[in-house]
Amino acid sequence: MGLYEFAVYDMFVPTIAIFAFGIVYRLSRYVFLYKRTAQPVWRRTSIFRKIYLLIDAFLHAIVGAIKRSKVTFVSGIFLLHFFGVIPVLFLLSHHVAWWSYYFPPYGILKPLAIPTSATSSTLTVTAPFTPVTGMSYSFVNTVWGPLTVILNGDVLAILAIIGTTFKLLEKIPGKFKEKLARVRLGDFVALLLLLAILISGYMATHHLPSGDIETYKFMLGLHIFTAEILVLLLPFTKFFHFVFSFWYGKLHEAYDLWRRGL
Amino acid sequence: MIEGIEKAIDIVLSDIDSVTLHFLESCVSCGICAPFCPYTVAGPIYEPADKAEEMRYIYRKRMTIAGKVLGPLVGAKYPKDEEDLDRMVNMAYRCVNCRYCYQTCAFGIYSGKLVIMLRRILDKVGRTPSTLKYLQSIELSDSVLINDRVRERWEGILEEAKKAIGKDLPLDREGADVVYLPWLAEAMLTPEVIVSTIKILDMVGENWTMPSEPLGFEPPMGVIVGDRESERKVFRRINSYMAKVGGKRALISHGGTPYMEMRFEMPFVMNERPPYDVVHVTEYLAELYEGGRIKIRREENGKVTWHDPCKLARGSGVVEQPRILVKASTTDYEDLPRGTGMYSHCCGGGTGIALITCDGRKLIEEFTGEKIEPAEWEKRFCPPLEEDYKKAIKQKIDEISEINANIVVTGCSTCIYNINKGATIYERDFQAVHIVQYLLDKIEVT
Ligand code: SF4
Ligand code: SF4
Repeated sequence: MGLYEFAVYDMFVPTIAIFAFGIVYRLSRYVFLYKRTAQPVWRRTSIFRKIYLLIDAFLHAIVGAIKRSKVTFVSGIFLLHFFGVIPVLFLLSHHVAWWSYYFPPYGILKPLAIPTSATSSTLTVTAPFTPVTGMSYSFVNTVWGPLTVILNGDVLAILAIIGTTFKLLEKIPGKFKEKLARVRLGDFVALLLLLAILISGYMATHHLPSGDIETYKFMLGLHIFTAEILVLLLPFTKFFHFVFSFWYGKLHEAYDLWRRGL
Repeated sequence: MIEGIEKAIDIVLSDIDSVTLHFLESCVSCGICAPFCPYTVAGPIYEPADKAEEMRYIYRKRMTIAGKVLGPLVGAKYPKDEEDLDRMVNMAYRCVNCRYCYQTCAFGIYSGKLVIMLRRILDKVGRTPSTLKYLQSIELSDSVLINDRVRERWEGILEEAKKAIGKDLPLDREGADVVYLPWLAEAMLTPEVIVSTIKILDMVGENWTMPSEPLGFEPPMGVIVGDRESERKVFRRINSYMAKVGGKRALISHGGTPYMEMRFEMPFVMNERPPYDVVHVTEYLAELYEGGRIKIRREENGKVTWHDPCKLARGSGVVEQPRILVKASTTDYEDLPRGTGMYSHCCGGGTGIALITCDGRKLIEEFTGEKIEPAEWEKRFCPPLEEDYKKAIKQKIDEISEINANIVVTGCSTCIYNINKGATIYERDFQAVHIVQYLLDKIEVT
């Protein structure tokens, strides 16, 4: 049995089971540690102010990074998150197909799917001709129109790889030269894992390093396997921010701002 | 192993709730909070998440499976020797609890809260700076007027106030609408604020009273040194005084720790909401102004700005009221350029930091007439702190200089001390004053 079969058939259920267990474990700690205490008198603010603060809570770290940590903004927020991992993970056409297979309602996002390569991105609504196809619409005629030149798997994956590599390299002097306590061993593990997923995915898409089926299957298997490792580690690592900590932290912050009447 | 450390850790970690758990577990080390912390200038190891990491080491060791099994490999360890304790103290006292990291963290993590947890552990193993311990002991004494010298100082302030209003002060009177609560720290740092507040209360014909002696030094000192029980003790004292005089409204002129702690934190600490309102003097004056009970004379007296004390603005939402008042008083008002309200930059010396510098120690010794002996470890700790404190306050001083302000109005005695100290050190010619003092001769009662 090859890595591909192992990742697709054997690892899938254990991955989901460990993920689910981890999420329940982490969330139950929050539930058990919840303490109900008396509340201060809330300051009164209008509903509009509350809505503004809620939105602001989600945005102000990004604005703060743009103003004061430009490198972090470009590498960590822009390349790694906004233009890298998030659109690739959720909208890359292969991934949309994958998500929809396991969770059919996800198929609603199919029209938003991003094509995989820059080459095919020329065949968009802006192209001088429409390819002949048996489908009711030309398969690369995406809603993204000319944006497809940027919004395609190749470009986004490369941006994500650049962002991840930069974050990884940036942490080395932080850890060993400046001796920053907040730079943890786990950060390196997480970023290396992410890099492995991105690179193997990119290589599989392009049938690299060679076009024979065994190599392709191995590379795709490696991509799926490393992604499964991430999923099963997610509840126990910094990746948890993506499913819980970010949302909880920001909602709590907005709640605190409301209470204090800011 | 350091004596008593495990017990201290157990006590402090037993208080963790789900919000603190989030603060402890969710940092991704992105560093976005770093440039906003007033102590990052002391070096990158004092960035908020780096200071908080000291607490996370302990938390992981005590409360996570991975930490128990894998130890230092996953950043889980207890402090084990003097060197570790020295590092922890350096971290714990390079934070003014200004909440700016909380406001700017990508995940809503309040690193300053974890720093206070560190202080709580350190306090239990005898690593609180001696001046703070001394002030805490003053606060916990039956009377904060601990000796004749302090009593004379306090009585001198009351005498001056009595002269200013031309009648006896309504001390400890029952049934007043407003109970003014001045603290001993104000008597030491800004005695004129107490006199001015009393004068304004009298001018507007308020039905008011105040305690014949302060109910605390800068309550609760327990939150500054990291001692929950002493926090509760002083809160109980304040609550029972308010109950005794039947006060419905506590009026506070110190917009630093005392206001925010009484207004927003006391219900959590005591697990009960006090049966009275807590009002800062700026809120009170804005209410009078907007209600038409007072007018403010507009004057030309150079450029005026308002410095938002962290605990009054970011911590308690008092942002608009002082601006209404100060803008009404001058023809030349400008906000500080690096951020206001939620995003104001801290003065750099709150939550006890200014008081543990050499000058802070001298000031307290001069005020009380008592000598405070520093512990051996403080001799290593104080000189670098002194330097870092100066760097931290310089950022505020430079910000004020950017707009060439002549008068910096604010609402917190600690901010006034730090800004004026910085202006002296860095030879700038502006002055910080408290809003009541600034407005006193501009207020007309209608
Ligand atoms: S509370 Fe203020 S001083 Fe303390 S770590 Fe956060 S930003 Fe820095
Ligand atoms: S911004 Fe928040 S998550 Fe990022 S380093 Fe600071 S505390 Fe950690």
